[in-house]
Amino acid sequence: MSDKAIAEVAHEHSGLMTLTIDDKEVTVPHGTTVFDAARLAGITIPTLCHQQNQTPVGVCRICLCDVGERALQAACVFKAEPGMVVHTASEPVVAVRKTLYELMLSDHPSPCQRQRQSNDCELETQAAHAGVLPQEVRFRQRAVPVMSADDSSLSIHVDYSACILCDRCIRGCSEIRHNNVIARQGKGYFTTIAFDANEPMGNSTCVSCGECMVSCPTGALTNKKIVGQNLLEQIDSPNVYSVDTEDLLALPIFKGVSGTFLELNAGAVVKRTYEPGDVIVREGENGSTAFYILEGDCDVLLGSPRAHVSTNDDHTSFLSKMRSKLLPQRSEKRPGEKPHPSHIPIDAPVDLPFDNPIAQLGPGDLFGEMTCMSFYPRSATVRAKTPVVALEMLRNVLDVMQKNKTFRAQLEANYRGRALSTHLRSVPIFAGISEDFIDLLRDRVELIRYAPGQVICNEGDPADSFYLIRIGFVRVSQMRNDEEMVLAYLPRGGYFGEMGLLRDVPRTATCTALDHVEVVRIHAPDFHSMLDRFPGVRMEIEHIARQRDKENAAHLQRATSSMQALPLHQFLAHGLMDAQSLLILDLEKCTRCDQCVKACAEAHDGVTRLLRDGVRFDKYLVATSCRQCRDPLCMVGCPVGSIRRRNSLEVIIEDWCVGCGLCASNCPYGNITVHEFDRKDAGGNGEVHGKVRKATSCDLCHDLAEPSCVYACPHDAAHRVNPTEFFSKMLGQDLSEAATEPAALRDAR
Amino acid sequence: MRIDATHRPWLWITIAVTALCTVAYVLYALQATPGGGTPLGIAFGALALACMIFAALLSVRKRFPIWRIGRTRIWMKAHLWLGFLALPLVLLHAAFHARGALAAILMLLTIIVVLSGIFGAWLQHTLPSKMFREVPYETIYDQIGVIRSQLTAEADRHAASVTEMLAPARGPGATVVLTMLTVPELGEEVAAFDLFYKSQIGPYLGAERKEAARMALYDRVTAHQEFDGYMTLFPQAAWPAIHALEDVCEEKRQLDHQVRLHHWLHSWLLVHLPVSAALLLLACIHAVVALRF
Repeated sequence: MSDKAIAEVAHEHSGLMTLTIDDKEVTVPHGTTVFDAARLAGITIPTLCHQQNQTPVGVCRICLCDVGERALQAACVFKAEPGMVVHTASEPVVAVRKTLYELMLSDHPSPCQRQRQSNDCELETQAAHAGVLPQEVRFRQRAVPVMSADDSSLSIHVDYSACILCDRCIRGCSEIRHNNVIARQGKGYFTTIAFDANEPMGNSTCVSCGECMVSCPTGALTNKKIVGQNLLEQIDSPNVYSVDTEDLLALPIFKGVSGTFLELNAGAVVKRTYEPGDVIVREGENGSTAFYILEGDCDVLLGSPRAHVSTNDDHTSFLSKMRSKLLPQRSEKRPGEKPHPSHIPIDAPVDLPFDNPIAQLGPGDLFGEMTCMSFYPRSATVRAKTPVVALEMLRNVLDVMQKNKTFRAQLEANYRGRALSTHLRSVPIFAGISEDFIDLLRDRVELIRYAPGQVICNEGDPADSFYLIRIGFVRVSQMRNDEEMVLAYLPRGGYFGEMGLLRDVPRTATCTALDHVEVVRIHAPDFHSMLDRFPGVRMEIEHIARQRDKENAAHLQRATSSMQALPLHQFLAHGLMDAQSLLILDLEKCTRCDQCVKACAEAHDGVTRLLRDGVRFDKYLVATSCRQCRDPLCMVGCPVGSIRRRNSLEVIIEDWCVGCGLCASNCPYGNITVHEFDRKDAGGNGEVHGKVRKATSCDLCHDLAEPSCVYACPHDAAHRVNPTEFFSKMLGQDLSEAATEPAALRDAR
Repeated sequence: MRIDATHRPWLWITIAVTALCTVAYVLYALQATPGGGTPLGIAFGALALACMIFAALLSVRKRFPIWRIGRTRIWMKAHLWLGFLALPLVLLHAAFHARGALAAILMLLTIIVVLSGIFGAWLQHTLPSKMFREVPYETIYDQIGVIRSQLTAEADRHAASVTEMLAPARGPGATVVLTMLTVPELGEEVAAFDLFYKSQIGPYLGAERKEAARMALYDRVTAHQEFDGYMTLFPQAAWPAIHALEDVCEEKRQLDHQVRLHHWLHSWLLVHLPVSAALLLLACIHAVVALRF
């Protein structure tokens, strides 16, 4: 065996091979493509569709080389073979390449946006280098019209006429960023890239990470930096400074983030400095940025007092004492329920203790995630305790950073070390767990993110985990009669998945992320271990599971009975089927005296919670007052989880409402309003200290036997009814629960 | 308020009490001369005054709507029937004739109060249904002024869209319009419509009810004929805007009607309440004077 053969055999055994590229020998591992082999040999093969960090697809064919085969091959996908002889710039290859450039340039709007902006359109640059036709004889307009430019995105401009369908953006979006927004659509010459189901980019699920724009070789996807967002211009404050890309990349949290992306989005991250006492963000305000603390400490607190909005209870004078005997007795407590939670969930790595809602944030803490990603109002006030330096960033930057492993690891470490314990203990079922078990869980739990609309678990799936919601909102639903019935919306601090684990049954509901959700996932073995060690926790969970069973059964039975009705167009169009309790006014009895409104105002600090106006159904006016909807959209997005429905029908707005008004905007019927009230501390001396905004909605006068509006109507015109029962005769369908009660249940009574 | 089956028990009680009192009066009259100063007469008078006082307490009850001292609708029924009962009791107390000026005034006031109350009950029985049927665009009475100004703004927009749509094309853009659309020359018609809007629709929408009632557009049929006329003159592209203008005028018409019905529904109280107050005051004076002297 010759030496050469021996060497070849040795190479083969070692996984290496040798080939010749442009008369240069190069040794590479088996499986290396010709393109990579050439690169290792210091030979650059031009390409338009290939990028090192993406799976090669060989669509542009610019990297064609003579590999000794019958036809030229695309170097980026063609695997090198031992002894192969490759020519990358022979005359036939160059001629083919030129033809390809000519074809692509024939309908390329040169100079394109990128060429004009930064003079580096890869197509035009390479074509010029290859000596393609002079500019004046190029066709400037495409023979067949393409889609018009898409300017809907805030940060990226789409020019379909400049697209060469290299698929780099598609691969960047899918393989690198895992957003899976972009794909191809159409056929042949009419093929274009598309966002989601061919939506305008701004309307799609694009998170503006910029990866597609960074990947695009031409001016098809360009940065709108010129007219885009620039925090420096938007923030009217002297303590805001621009940050160089080099300075950002020097920070550990930006390790791995694309420098090009940061460069193109230079205005999306700024440095802020604060003196002690400065308010960084205020609760209830709208915002679109998140903050990362670099130096210093902050206090995070709820400035809005947990004052209960109640009627005047001053009984010092004789007449007021007499009156107090006649006035309805109001109780702060709802039977069977705890008066308040131990912690108030906020948009920060910590939750606030209810009794003293203040906590500290320090270097490495990120706050305002929900505001930045989902545009929820600020959930708490953050005030500098010491001199603070922080980075303020927009959503596109935060999104990129959240996908960055270094940053995520740091956030998770912070959360596990500082907040997980408090967060777990804020859930009543974990309150009695020992610290050592929490320590055990600390490293074993998984923090998982979900995009809006993503299903966390499906009804019927095997139950393998318990979930605790760290940020975001989760919708819990079941399928009934081929329709999704919403059972609940769970905010931060909510939890789900315990029933399946407890009873060893498949999941009883589908849980879907409504917005950007992050959950703490406790796997089944740890969950069962916890139940075994802490029998009290098991009892608590079983009690809660039984309660949920009952609520869900009642909820679904009401929903199911209504589902059997023939949907009358008007009844459905007004959303009456979704209501569980309507305030209706019989227009043939009502004399428009407004006694109902006056009574409501008198019962609620002078602010009425109903309007004697609204949709009409038959002879009834459906007053604008909370309908206690089955699908309570008002609850979605509350930054402090103060609007909720407990074990009863009415939707309650708790005392710690920060008055942001999101619930009022979410309610499709305008049944929630935000008012200013005198700022008095609960249990205090009643002195007034300015004003505080609180959301209000009808609470059915829950602590009274009858709603005040109904009680005060002199003409028997106002009623609170269940619409499906009340209107069943009119609709010609018996929609009452009794009529649709299963026969077995009826027989059992 | 509907005088419906739920009032039946009250009706029977009122009839029964009236019958009982009448029988007692007749039996007494057969034996002695009836009068206000007789024991039976005083009893009737006291009962009548008690009914009046209770009826007057409805205003107080409404003033404190959330007090848990009985549902307001029960108080309203009691007010109606006990108030009605006061009339026969007063007549029986006075033995069907008034002695003296005060007594005569009291009897007159009682009759006015009761009759105005019956009239009011009749209005409250019939007008709500009428309002429901005839004013589908009904809104909160206090908001009518706001709605009216919104209607004016909306009408301005619709009218502007009609005139701009049909105005002769001018300027650089006109070339595109004329080449892409066949726009007939409607200069005179558009001017007429503009005049119609400024001279009739605008003033009508801005006018109060009484003034609006004197305008041509107040009549639905006339208004419809006018708008119909313009629709026959203009191309189809302008019809939605003209329809919208007609709807705006219809809404204005209905709001005016609502104002009228609302006044009828509540203005009778301008007689009933002050007369009732005067009656109660004088009745108390009469009772004190009669018993004292």
